[in-house]
Amino acid sequence: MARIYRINMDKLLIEEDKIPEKYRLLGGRGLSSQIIMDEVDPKVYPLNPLNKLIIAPGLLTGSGAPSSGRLSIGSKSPLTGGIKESNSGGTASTNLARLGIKALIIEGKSNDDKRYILHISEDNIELLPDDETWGLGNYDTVKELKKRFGEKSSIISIGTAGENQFRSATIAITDVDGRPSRHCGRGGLGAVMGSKGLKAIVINSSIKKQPLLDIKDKQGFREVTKTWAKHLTETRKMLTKYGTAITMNTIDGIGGLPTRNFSKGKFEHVEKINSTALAEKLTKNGGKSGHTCSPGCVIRCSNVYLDENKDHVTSGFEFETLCLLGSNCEISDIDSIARFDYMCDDYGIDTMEVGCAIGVAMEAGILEFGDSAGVEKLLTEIGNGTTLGRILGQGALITGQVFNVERIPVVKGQGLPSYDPRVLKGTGVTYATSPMGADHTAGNLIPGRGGVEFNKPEGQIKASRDIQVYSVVQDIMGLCNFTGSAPETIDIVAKLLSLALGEIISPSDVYNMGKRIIEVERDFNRKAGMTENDDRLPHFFKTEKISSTGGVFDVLDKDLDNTFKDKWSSDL
Amino acid sequence: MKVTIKNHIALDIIKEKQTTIEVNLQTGSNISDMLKLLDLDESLVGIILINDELSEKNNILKDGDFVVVFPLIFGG
Repeated sequence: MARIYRINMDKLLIEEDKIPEKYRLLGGRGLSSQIIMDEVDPKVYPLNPLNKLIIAPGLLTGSGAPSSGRLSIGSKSPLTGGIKESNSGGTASTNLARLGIKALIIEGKSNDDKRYILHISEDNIELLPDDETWGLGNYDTVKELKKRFGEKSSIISIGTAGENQFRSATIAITDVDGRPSRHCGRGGLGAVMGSKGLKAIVINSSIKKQPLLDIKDKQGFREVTKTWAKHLTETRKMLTKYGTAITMNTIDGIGGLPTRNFSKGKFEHVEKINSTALAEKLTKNGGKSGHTCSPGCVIRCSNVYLDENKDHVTSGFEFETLCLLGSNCEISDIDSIARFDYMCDDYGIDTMEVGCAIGVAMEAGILEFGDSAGVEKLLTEIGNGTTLGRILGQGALITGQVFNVERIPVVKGQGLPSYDPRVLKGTGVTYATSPMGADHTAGNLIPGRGGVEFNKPEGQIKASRDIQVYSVVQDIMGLCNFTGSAPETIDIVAKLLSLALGEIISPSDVYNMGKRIIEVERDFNRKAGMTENDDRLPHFFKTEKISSTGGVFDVLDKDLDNTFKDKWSSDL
Repeated sequence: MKVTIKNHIALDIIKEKQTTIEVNLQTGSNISDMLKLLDLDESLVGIILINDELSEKNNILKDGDFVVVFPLIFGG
């Protein structure tokens, strides 16, 4: 039987909860969002003890389905003020699922500022005082905890940014090499964990116990996963070889690459930070591509980046970081950006939020565009919690407000990803309307997707609505976004659930699972005080033409307001 | 007629370390013909630009065109 544990930080009490029927077919984002809706007052201050942090593997995690090892963490976000789910690879999700843990609900706040580690093993779960790691970055934290609990521990932790409760703070998860390189990066969830006095969760598990989902037709299930794994392996070869950086040239080529604080869509030095540049570095210095971000991933788009002395610089060096701390800050030295990536992983800050914040700071004249030494200094200030560091660590919106910058690229307070919405208009609709704030993983209408022309306003509302549903389904199941936010994935999930449960689950049923969670999330946000005015891009995207294409974001507000009012595909 | 094609590492259009290559095509050839000549799997191809303009696989090429072929992407 799968279990849910409730960890009360006030009373230092851990209880096993019965799983209500309505949670049976939920996992990942579906479960975290539903529990938040059921248990958290939408009006609560996100760093108040009454907010909760929900940690949930996907419904298919540990089932043998390919690339299904994502871990969802949810809460009311201190960054957006709305509901939040951010998911990540790493080893924790699979280990939690193997222990039969469907969710951890962290509630309350430790007394007298005492700090704790939650330790989970095959036969025990306990809160232990943390006397050694508070104040350390994620890398040293992991080192200390491995000494204490063993090298093979799977660790979920916060760095100094989470301890300081910054709105850009992440929650790190150790990767397959045991490094804290994978992060639930978005929405400041690390601040919520820090506010509760919880520094880390250590999981020690070596044997398979109950899977989250009891699979009735094991052979049938295996056949579907095997065929799907083969398909993904064959069709995602370029991601395996070159990682997410492969996206860089295309987005620059169509003029949608955020550059110089979202004032331009093409970066003149793109060749120095693209997949070619990255591949050359990895080859020359003996780094690694084709690295798995979670056990059982067949896409393997991650990497390990070494310096000239073959010393480790960073792992999981991604397109979003290369753009937002690269082109967006007009920094073209890939070694410097790799170093920034490590610093962000170590302090536990979101490379995307901080990339947007530093772009804004550059526009304000705090430092020059292209000043990589200056960026390193600012990241250190965030890590050390200086006054300037505290401002930047709160993200792009607060940074822009403090320094009077008009061009602040955020929706619902969250920094925009690396696709300019004046060029990728469907992605812009997702940024505007997703309950998560500006989030590409909520439904990214890159060229070729959704049956629409990516740079025209027509058809984007329906395309965004559908791809947001497909993406939520992936997040419920623990599936990587790169398995495909598309109807084909819905069909496969329907097949897998039918075989597992021994009852017919149609693609339409699966679509409705995603639809229902979006409705729950929007309902929470409405009750938190959000209105249609929060489903908007910053005004400058409507008025400032992007130099690369001359385009503006021209999807009408009244159409944005119909995104979830129009008929959903399952109703048609 | 001659067109210039820009390399992309992931498509491995050019084996040598050149950034561009010139190819000879029959007058009236389109992008698909060009991809065939380069022995490039169309299913791997995403966005195509001809002289910086977004183009389709059936767009006819003309002498002196500069073509950039990007691989299919999945986001990132």
